[in-house]
Amino acid sequence: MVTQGGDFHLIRRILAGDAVAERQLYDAHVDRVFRLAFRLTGDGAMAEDLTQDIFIRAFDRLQTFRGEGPLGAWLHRIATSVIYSALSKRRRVLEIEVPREDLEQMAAAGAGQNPDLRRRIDRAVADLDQPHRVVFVMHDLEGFTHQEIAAAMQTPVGTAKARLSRARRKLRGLLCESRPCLNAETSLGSE
Amino acid sequence: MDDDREFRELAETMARLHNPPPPTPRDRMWGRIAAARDARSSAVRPRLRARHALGIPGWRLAAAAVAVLAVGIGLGRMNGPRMETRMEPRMGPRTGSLPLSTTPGRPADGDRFRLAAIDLFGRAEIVLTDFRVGSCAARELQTVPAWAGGMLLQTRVLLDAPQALDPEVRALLEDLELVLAQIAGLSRSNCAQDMAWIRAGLRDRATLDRLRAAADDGIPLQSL
Repeated sequence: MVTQGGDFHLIRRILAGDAVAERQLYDAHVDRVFRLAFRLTGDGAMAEDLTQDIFIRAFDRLQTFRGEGPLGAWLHRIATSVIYSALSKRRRVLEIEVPREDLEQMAAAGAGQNPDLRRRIDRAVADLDQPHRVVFVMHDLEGFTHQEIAAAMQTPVGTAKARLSRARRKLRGLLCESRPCLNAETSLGSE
Repeated sequence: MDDDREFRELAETMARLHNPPPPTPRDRMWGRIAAARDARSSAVRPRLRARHALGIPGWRLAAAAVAVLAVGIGLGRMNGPRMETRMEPRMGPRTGSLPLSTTPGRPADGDRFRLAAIDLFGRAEIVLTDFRVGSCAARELQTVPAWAGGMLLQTRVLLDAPQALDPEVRALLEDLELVLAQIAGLSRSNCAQDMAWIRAGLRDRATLDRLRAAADDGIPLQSL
């Protein structure tokens, strides 16, 4: 992880035209950005397009980075903004009716890939409204901290935590009608 | 505590099954990013030329350009090369952080930026409120690219200004840039769908409320 002092040094080199530094910045952050875009869109091509757009915007605006926080937080703010805008253009993030060929691929993908379970999970997450879905995916699926999420979404940490709590409550309600949740022992038995 | 453990297990299952990301295609994406940036850096300035592709009449373009230049000159800055660095170390007590962009020392520049931004937000709120209830009638669509394109240029000048440091102001300018770009690119053939997307974006981001608040309450000087 690049330290804040390292961030400044890297940015100075980039703004001086150092192509190696540009690639370094990209390599340091692209995994998290791409994973987030993929988690939220479920679409590989779209996730790639969004990731590319995010980094192009970041490089375009690099000179405005003030260093009040880590460069990663600044970058993730751009990422959430770009992904938000893209998601708002789509009526649904996830296919609710999983196409038959996808079900067959899931079944063929390996032991324990339960298409019904996956569909239930996908439906439940899609049922969350956008801010709650983003917070849940960022924290519980991708490991962002509350502080990182708050910085990315430009909300207080308390708001981010509250959204996460509500998202979890709703998901628990949708997926844990019986105990254990998702009938875990039987669903996960062969994974 | 059992509930927490149960949800952790649930979250682990969801992480495995809900859109599990594939390996990041780093090199492929980097190639495209680098190509896009190369293409941009060799593109002919000014940006105004691109607006012709939207079918904006020349005289409207000229009027928008005058407004943009007026804002830019008023802010003490003309559009220049993107890669120009404005980084200077801050003098004073040593701290762990160095701001990478310094604001010019003159308070008047902050005032001018503030006034220009408030003016833009106020006008944008009015036209976007009207636009939101507008239709895809040919007569209405005819004037849209012109005002949207002009306002988009002004938004971008403000975004590029060194005074645009406040995160909330920047976020609002960026959201405004996005919606104006969408409106400027409105297509007659897909107008209804495009309008639906634009309205959804305005609603989801509460853009009109934020524009109204910024225009009514002003932008605090201390935030610049």
